[in-house]
Amino acid sequence: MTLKTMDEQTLRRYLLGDATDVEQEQVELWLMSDPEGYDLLVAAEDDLVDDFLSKRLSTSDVQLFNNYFLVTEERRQKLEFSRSLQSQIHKPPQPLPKPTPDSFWKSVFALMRRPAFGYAMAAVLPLLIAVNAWFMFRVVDLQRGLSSSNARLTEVVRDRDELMKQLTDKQSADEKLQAQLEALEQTISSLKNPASRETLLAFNLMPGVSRSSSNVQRIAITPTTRVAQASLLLLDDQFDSYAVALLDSENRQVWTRDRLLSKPVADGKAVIATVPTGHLPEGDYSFQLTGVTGSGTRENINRYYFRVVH
Amino acid sequence: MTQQRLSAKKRTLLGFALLHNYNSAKFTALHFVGNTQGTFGVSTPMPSPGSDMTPEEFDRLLHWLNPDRDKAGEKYEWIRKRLIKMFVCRGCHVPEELADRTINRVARKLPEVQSTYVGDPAHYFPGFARNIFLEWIKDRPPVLGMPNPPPESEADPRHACLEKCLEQLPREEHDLVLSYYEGEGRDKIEHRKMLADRFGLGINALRIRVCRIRLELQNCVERCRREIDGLKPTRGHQS
Repeated sequence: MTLKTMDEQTLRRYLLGDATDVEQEQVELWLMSDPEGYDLLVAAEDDLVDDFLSKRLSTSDVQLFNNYFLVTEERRQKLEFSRSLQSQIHKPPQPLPKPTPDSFWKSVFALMRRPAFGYAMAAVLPLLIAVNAWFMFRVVDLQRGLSSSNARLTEVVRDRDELMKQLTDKQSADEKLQAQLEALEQTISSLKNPASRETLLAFNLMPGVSRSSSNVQRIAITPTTRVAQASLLLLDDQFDSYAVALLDSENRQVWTRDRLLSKPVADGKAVIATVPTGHLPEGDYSFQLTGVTGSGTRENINRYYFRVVH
Repeated sequence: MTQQRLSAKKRTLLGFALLHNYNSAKFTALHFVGNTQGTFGVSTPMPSPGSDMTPEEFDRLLHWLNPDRDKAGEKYEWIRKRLIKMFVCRGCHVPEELADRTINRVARKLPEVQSTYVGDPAHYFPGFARNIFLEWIKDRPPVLGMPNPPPESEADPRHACLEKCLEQLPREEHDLVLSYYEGEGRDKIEHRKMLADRFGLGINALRIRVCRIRLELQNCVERCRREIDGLKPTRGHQS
């Protein structure tokens, strides 16, 4: 058997002790049959108590409520509890407190004391740690990259300085070469000049001719002759190198040259001595030929006499 | 006085019976020494004259309620709870005592009807309950005209306790129980329909849910009040 919604009034009469015997039997059988019967009966009790407290019961029902319904301690407790609950439910909302200057900080501290804040922080903290660790890692990585870049920059600067030095050296060498080139070109051009074709005067000298001899060789030097080249013929080529000294008529040395080698000529071998004509004014001269061994030993070999005329 | 050890399962089974007799003025049900198997028993039975239940009667009753011992215990509790409510609704201030008397009487009557009874055993109890109530009211008329409850006082500790207990409720239950009582008249009915829709419940299911929350709150407030008053807890029959 189930009790329908319309039978709520029957339930109320049953609770107030105002139901007929038949209704009582029906309700009690329903209570023993319907799985929800007990809970619905308790809910009907709650509604009855609420109606009593809200003064929605008729006068006769109020009388039954006081004299019959409240007969047990359980129901009196229920009434007291319901009275408190209704007060709580119908309590007017508390006016909001006026904000005070420090209400912001109070609300912040209150927020921090709430468990939700703790949970949120517990959730966010690992994330913050992870982000912080990532940033630390990035900073260390960037610092490492910066150090590497600085080292490379230093290396590049050093390379640049070295290249600049090389460039300066090269420019200096180029300038020298340019000067030499200009000198050579000047020499070549002077050699190509017809006026300078007679600058070299070559002649051969034989050893053994004395100064007083009448057949001493005469060398005529013109104004255009710049250099006099004497081939000092050798009777015997036994030395590693030779030294030549130009002596005037009073045997004063006016010019000298060392480490000269013998060279083959038409008459055998000779030592070539090239003397600027500035050293040869008119007069009697002689070349003193000295042989030099590998160990440096020197030995006078011959003397070659000649006479310069202009 | 005989005292024997009980297995956990049997202690549980007997526990429900003994527990509900704990607060009665007299032990009127389920007091016996030993049982048919001789494996367990309870100590110091204090039978009321003519209202004892023997172990055999107890075993027979449980078996009739359900052959499964555990389910029989649950059914026993289910019936007893409703019998108590029934006696409360009839204006009896000793409902547990009359409920136990009813169960005893059914247990004694059982050998005569067990073989022929058809249907839910629970339906058998209300008739016996009515007779028990009539016998009780005949000997001891119910107290009528109870004094009105004391007027509400702001100093009532229930208010503070209720606020505390409401805060302890899960948010959904807290909102539901406060929202359920909003409105008046037609508005209230419509509001409750809307609540039922929102929670996916029927109207009756919503009423039951609120009723249970309210009962939980009431028990919480009573515990709180006892703590404040420093009173020892007293056993009630609410559950």
